[in-house]
Amino acid sequence: MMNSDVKVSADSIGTTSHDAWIEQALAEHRQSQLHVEQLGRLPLSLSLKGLMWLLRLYVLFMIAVVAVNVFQQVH
Amino acid sequence: MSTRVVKEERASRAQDRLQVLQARSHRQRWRLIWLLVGPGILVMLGENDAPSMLSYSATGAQFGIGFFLPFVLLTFAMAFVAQEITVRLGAVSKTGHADLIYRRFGRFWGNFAMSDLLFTNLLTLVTEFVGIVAGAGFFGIPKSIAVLGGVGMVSLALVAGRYWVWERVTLILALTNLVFVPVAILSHPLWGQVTSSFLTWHPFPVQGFGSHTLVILLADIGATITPWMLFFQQGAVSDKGLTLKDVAHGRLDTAIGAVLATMGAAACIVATSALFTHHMNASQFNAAEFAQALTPYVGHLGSALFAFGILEAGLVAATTISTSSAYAFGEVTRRAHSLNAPAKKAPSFYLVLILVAASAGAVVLLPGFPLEAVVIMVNVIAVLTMPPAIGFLLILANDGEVMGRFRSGRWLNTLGISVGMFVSLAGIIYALTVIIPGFHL
Repeated sequence: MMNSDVKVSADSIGTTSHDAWIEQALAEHRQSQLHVEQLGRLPLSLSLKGLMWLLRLYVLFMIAVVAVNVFQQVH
Repeated sequence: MSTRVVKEERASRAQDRLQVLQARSHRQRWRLIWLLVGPGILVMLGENDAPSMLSYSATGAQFGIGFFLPFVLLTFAMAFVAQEITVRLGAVSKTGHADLIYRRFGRFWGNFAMSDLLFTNLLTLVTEFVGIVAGAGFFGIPKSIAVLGGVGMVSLALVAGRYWVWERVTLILALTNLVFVPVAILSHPLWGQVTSSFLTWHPFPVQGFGSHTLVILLADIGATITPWMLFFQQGAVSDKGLTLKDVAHGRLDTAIGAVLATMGAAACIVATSALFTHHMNASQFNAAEFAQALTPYVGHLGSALFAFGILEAGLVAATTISTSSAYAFGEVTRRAHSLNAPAKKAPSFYLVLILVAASAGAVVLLPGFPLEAVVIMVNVIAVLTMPPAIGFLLILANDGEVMGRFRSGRWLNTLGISVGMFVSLAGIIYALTVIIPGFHL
């Protein structure tokens, strides 16, 4: 988790140079971006992988059900 | 992404942040709310799109005032639970939903999530243009002009130049979704019955909960909870530049959006319940036919407002759904994807934005294509693809490495899992009614 205690004040921004105040206003954003860039893959447990496969099969099954329903309505 | 694009994007965002910081340091409460609201209201009113309003119209016309009014309130409460997570995800990670899914789950699962999004986005966009054409048709505007107008509205992003400008213009248009409120008033409903239905959930549908009622029920769920909403709001929160301190305002923004969207949806059901009261068979009505059929009960002004509401719903949703596709494309391909970036600097983002809208519009112009018949089924498909999207959302919301102290607690997890189970269960019951003829709840 990134450091969330980035202190920026509107008054201090008003007194600094253009590039510097942009950096100051977006300090938290820069930290978050760096943190996200460093994120690796989430380790998925077997049960979590099973659940994700189950949900994937659910979608495929439901699409087939919708196709059947549309076919029933048309005929 | 080139350094110059990033610089321009950052300069625009920094200007917005400066205003927020000034409002916060001067304790300007209302100004702060004004500056920070946007993504939540847009996503909720954007989801009151053309197929959704048509679903609500079918609900009112076929079931009248009763069970479905409080049900719609419940579905928007569930939408709030899901969308609140995207506010936290966006404010903490400052990146989009697709980007996080690809980073944390890898390309294999990311591709599945993206295929669900693109499939439902394209289908939904087609129905938005059906709504735009139908609404415009009521005012005598030809199909081709209506489609061009729709694509033109989506293309406004090109000239807006900044996220803030785009958001405010779209927000003003989205607020006109409330035109359904005066239409409901003009239909002179029995307000006592409306109040009573919210309190008692009665009367239940006279047809019972068979296949037909469940299609409408699923369509109404699909009218409030869909995959594009997750991708859009997280993308917009990150593009707007919300920070950890803004999470409370992000929640308020989403809550305001949910309340406004519930008002629009409930008003549409109340307005069209006049057709149920007068025993009009509206099962095969399209948007324009609903407006025409309502004329004896709400007058010419009321029916014109109704048609305008459908037109507006299609325009706003075409804009937000195209944007969600463009955000996701940019995040996955790691190309510039911000409304703060000028068109010259983020050509692929704007190209995808306009291309998806133009393709959907072109489908509507195909002669003899049976579009009206599939409008409600699109909402059904959207809700059936939702469980995996909620799965990714809940796993990310509990990912300590991403969320830190903003990860979901026990209560938020209970609510989130309940929404996921409710949506999945509704789908299973629907499947049973299709597979087993005569199945009834």
